Amino acid sequence: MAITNDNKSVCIIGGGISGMTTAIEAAEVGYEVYLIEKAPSLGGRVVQMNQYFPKLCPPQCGVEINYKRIRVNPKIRYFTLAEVEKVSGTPGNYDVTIRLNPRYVNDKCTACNKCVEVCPVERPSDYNYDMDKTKAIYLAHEMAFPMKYVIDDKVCLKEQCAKCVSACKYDAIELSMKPKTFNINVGSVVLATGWSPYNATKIDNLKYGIYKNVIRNVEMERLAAPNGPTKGKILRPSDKKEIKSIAFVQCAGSRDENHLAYCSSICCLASMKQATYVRSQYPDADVYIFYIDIRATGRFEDFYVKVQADNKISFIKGKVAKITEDAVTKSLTVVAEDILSGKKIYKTVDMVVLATGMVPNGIKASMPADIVYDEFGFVVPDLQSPGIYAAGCTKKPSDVASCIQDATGTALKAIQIFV
Amino acid sequence: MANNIIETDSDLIKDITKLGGGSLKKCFQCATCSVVCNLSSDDRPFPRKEMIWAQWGLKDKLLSDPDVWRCYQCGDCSVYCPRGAKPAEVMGAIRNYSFKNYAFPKFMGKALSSPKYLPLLFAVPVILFFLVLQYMGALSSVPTGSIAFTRFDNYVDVIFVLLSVLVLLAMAKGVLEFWKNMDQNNTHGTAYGSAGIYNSILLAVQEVLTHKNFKKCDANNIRYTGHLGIFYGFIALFIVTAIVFIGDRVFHMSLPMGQVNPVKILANLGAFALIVGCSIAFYNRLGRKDKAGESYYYDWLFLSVLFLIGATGLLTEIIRLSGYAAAAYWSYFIHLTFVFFLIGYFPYSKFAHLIYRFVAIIYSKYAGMSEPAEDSVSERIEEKSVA
Amino acid sequence: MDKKLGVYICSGCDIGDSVDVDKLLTVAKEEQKIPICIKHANLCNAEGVELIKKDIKEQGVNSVIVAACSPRVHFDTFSFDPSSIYVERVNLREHVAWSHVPKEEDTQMLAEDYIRMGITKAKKANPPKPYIETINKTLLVIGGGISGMTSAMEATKAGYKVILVEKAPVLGGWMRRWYKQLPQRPPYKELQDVDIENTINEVKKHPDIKLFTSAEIENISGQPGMFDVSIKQDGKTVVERAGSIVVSTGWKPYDAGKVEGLGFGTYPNVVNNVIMEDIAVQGKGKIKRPSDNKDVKSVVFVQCVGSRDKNHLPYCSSVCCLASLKQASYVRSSNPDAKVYIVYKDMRTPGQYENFYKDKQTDDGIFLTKGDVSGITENADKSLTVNVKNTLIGEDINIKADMVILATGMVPATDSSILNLQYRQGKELPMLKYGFPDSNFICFPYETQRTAIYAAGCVRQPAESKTCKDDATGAALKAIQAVELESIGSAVHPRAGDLSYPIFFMQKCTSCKRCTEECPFGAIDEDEKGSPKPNPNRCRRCGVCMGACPERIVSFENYSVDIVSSMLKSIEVPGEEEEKLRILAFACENDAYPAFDIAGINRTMFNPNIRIIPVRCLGSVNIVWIADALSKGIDGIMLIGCKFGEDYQCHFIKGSELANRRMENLKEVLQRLVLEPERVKVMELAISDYDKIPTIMNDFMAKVNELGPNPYKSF
Repeated sequence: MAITNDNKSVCIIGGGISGMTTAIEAAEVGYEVYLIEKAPSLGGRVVQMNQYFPKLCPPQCGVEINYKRIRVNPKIRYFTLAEVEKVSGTPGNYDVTIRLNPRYVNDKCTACNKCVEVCPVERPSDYNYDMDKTKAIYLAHEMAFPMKYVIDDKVCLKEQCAKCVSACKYDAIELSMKPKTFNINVGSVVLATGWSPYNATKIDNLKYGIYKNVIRNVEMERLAAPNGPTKGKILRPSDKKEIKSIAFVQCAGSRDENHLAYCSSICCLASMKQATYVRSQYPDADVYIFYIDIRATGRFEDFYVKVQADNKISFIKGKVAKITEDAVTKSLTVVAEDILSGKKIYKTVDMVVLATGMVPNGIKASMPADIVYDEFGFVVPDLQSPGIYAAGCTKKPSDVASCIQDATGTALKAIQIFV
Repeated sequence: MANNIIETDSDLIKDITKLGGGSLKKCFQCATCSVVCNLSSDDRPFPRKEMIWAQWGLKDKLLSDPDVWRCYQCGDCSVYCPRGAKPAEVMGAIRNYSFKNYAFPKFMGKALSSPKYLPLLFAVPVILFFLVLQYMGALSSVPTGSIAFTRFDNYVDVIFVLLSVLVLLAMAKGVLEFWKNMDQNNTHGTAYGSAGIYNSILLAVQEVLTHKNFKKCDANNIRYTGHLGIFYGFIALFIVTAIVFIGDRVFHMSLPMGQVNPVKILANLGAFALIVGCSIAFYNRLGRKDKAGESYYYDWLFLSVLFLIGATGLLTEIIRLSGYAAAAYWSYFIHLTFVFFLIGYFPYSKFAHLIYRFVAIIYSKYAGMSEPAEDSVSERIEEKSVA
Repeated sequence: MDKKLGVYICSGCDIGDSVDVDKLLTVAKEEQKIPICIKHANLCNAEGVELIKKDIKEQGVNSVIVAACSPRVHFDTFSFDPSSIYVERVNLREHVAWSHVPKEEDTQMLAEDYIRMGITKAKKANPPKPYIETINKTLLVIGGGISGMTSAMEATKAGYKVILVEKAPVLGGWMRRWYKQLPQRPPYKELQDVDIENTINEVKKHPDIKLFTSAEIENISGQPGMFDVSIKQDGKTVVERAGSIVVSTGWKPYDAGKVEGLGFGTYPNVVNNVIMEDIAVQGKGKIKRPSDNKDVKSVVFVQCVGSRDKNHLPYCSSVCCLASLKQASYVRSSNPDAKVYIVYKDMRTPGQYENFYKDKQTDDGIFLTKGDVSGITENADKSLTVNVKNTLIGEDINIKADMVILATGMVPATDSSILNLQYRQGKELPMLKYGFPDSNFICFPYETQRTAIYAAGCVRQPAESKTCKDDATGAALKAIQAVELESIGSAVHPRAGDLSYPIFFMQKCTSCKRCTEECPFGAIDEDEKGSPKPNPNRCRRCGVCMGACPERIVSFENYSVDIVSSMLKSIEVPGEEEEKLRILAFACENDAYPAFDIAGINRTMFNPNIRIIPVRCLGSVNIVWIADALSKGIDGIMLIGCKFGEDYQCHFIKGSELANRRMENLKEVLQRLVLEPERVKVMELAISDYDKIPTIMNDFMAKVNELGPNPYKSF
């Protein structure tokens, strides 16, 4: 595009849906942007989702369009495996120090996969939340952007092995690659570092990590996804068998002073969405959703009404506070008080999904001005210095559309400095 | 539809707050508490419903709820409560509120609820005993000869017998009202009355003696140990007192007993258990606040009195055996003051939980209310599916 | 433009092992007569790219055919001066080598056909020349509430001029009526004063904001970058020019009188939450009940009045729980002995607002329960009795109150005329649902069916002021972006950067009006004679008009009926005796085409008798292509695109739906030609359905097999 705004660039830290959106939206106005992502591929958490609520459409559809917007727009420069170490300077003139971690695979990589065929080492797949394995050299996922392989240097045998180096016809593998540090000069900085799922092992009464068939909602997304560890078939982890019943435990960690005192906003809808995954795969399966309050705001209410209409999905007001496992069958019994009847309810199910919440990632890099966080670790938006802004789940737990809406607004804030 | 307008009693909320339930408003009714509680039954789980009744100031519901008394304040619920509402403490406060409420005469309930009346409460036995000493003429000179408390007991027994009668009457009034409230305000299920009243009492006695429900506490099981010590220590001392009283009055047995007398051994063991039990309770309340929760005036007063009875009793015995007459008598005087405090204020102090809890257990047996599970959840499920 | 073509075939990434590249070169060179045909073992490396650059420079090649990997990868690598060099990518890797059995005759034939199709396209397509007009970059903001004022202020901060039109005599909207506002910052516990007067003054004083109060839009004509806006104020009309528009007309409270049994409008002491704010403002914080102006001692809030009710507002109004908690504290600070009861369905205080709920809970005088209010009756003293069922208390209850506040929901203010667009397809923004002109896309919340016109704030979705402000900022960015993109002749989302635009060859137009009716964005108006009047700045470049036109008069420089027709005609269709069927697949380039790529990346094998042609949108598929394909002897045709109907996924709103409708209409024609309608099939395929591709292909193949070869084959 022909608009020029010399030296007017924005640095966006975090290449998830919020960061990508801020970058693309600012670039489509005509500003230069730098998009800095820690992982080997852009996309963040959304590419680990199977479907979005309430439309039950694949996230890859919008992500593909965003990848395309990045591809065709020369104003966007992105760095993967990159971490911001330091930001210094003043509004309108920030110096950002970026550390580029080695991919060990250079731009000559054609993604032909020959290296994977010979690699002898395996690693747990972080993309699939450790539910399966990849080789030490791997592609983040089928739609990875950039479509370049990467070596996990924590497990790679490097020169001792080097099988991939000889398998690669294109000289793409450089085992000696070293981290590089470089600086960029920008006018404003946007924090879009996103969130991580809550460490559910801390919720001791819900037995995540102890009972195999207790999983988190993020793992459920992978189980239901066609490129997940089970190729999209929801099978229970203990014996890879089909399921006949499942329980969703809402507020697993969220709205809980012992864990995350805020509401993570999205878990009610996420569980309802996952209930539809189960129901579409298993027409006879029973689904139980245990909740405190169902928080389906705005038109999301339609989705709640739709899910409620399924007579195989039961909503029970009452929090699950106890889960036991049958030592032989590995089935689980969840216990709650059905508050509206005032009686305890026991449901024995094949699998339990914990609706775990969002923990803000914050920013570790040293910043020129104090970043103000609220008591939960979310960045307080209106207390940042002009020139530094936050977008998406860095500010508050939000659904995807709200993140994008917010990230679009943040793009405007970020370019105002150039006037 | 109930035709009555709901009465939300703001004073009740204030009272419960003062009595140790200050966190009650934080509850947002998720019922984690009812589930983690090992004592809560399937059909009438608690303390979730008690929490909203307390939040809404629904006095009648709380005062007639047997489940309030089936809680042993293990604290599991408070540990897991996502809102910091500390249901265990609120339940304790509701029980304190009940002593106060069922107290007859009413001013006694009030007197026991605040430290400002404490000097007055102690003044009553002290003055009474001084009057006895005055009458005996023992104020001016220490009686000579072997140290024998029976000299004093002849008069004091009269006081204690009279006191016991008054206390029993006051207690009976409270208990009858409590029973009536429970019976009126709880829906009678099909099992109502099928156990029969005598059988219900028997079952309740069995439950109390075995502490079988108390034992189920998870987060705070040290309480169970402490309580067991206090409970059996107290019972032992009660039996000893009864034997001594009857022995003295009816059989004119010679007192004091020798150290090898089985009754004496029981007495010493009882005192020992009481002191150890109290010490454990003190340790728990002071050193393990995170698990035990906060303690309040009612708790400290009752625990202190119990401990002091045990301690002064033992001290008196030691001094008596050492032969310091004056010290022994004064020590006994103090001991009796605490005993008076315990017995005389029984219906209005935390001590009354013994009776209310016992009655609530009887009622729940009688009304056929479901019991907390004996075993683990999974076993229960299997049973159910087999059935 | 003189075309000079160069074909560059890569044999790397298994292509060379899968097909005979030399034979492909022969096809290009001898059959297609391309002078420059080169094979390279690794075209994407520096040497390969240099080769092409050299030919461009030295041989004057201006149309480059790269037969290698998918256009989804190495976009930069094979991108030369886009204004003069046309690049056509032939996907030999993902769509051939990685998804078909190597060294088979069918695989080779597939690759050869793709080479032919690519060359054919490159022969006819040209780099687009943008349509550029003089653009006015002023933003028109309609509605002067918190959202509108935010959009206006934020846009000026980025250096843009704004015209702000407000219907009322004063700015500030509903917020101006509020007594206090929700906590805006940590710890999200204390109510804050409404600080809107500052914003109003800022807006009023701002040199870059042209303010019209007590004003309405009479009409808007023109197109993005050049809208002529007639504003009526004080009986006079002025015309202003604007480039893009933010609609932030806000909301109205639902008429609680429509909800039976609550006595709103009948009992003086039953009010809605808006009136409650007025009461608080009038009493300067003292809450007095309307009937006798006495201090209130007990108040009941009834949540979800109208909202979450299929007979009224099926959606949740999002803010009422927070509003009632806020107003509960008005009552409590007005009278410390007052009791406030809140009866809710679900307490909805998402995110950090959980803190606010928690804080209000701890107030001794606030009593909360889930419950359903079954009725309200008035007592002789004008107090009210509220009947509540299904409570947390374990029984139905009756609450006596001096006053009842109904937490009524938000209705988007879209019932009256706002924009008065002089568009053939209607005057207002199309509604998504329940009167909200919202986006249907989770990924693109500012998607709009009227280019450069964006909705913001409560007119788009119910929200509290903080969210409205964020939303209004986002909408302002989109409005700014739209004028900037229009100014360089570029399409806006989702084809930002696309400089092509539809050109109408009017001499052949029959004024059939299909294009004007079917354009999903209302881009084409009609002149007096009923002939189409395109507005390129409104256009999103989907090609639906091109697909609609029976006379084939609509075309883009690089995408036209003729280009695709020629491509499909270049396919070699084996004769009937060879027993090899040929299937043509038109695949949506946003979702279906990448799905085939991913199938390839996963080395999923699928039927080699299918030829895929990517299309901008299924809506751009012209029936002529079907006719051409069938007369060419193609045995079956698939149109693979996005989900349509409710929850449609088509990024051009109704492209796939239109394609489906057109194909339904085609059935009759086919029957008349004694062709089985089953030969043409519209299919929905999401990008994530790549694993289903082999089955879908095989099923269709089986169906066509059953029908037998196309009877027109031998003609």
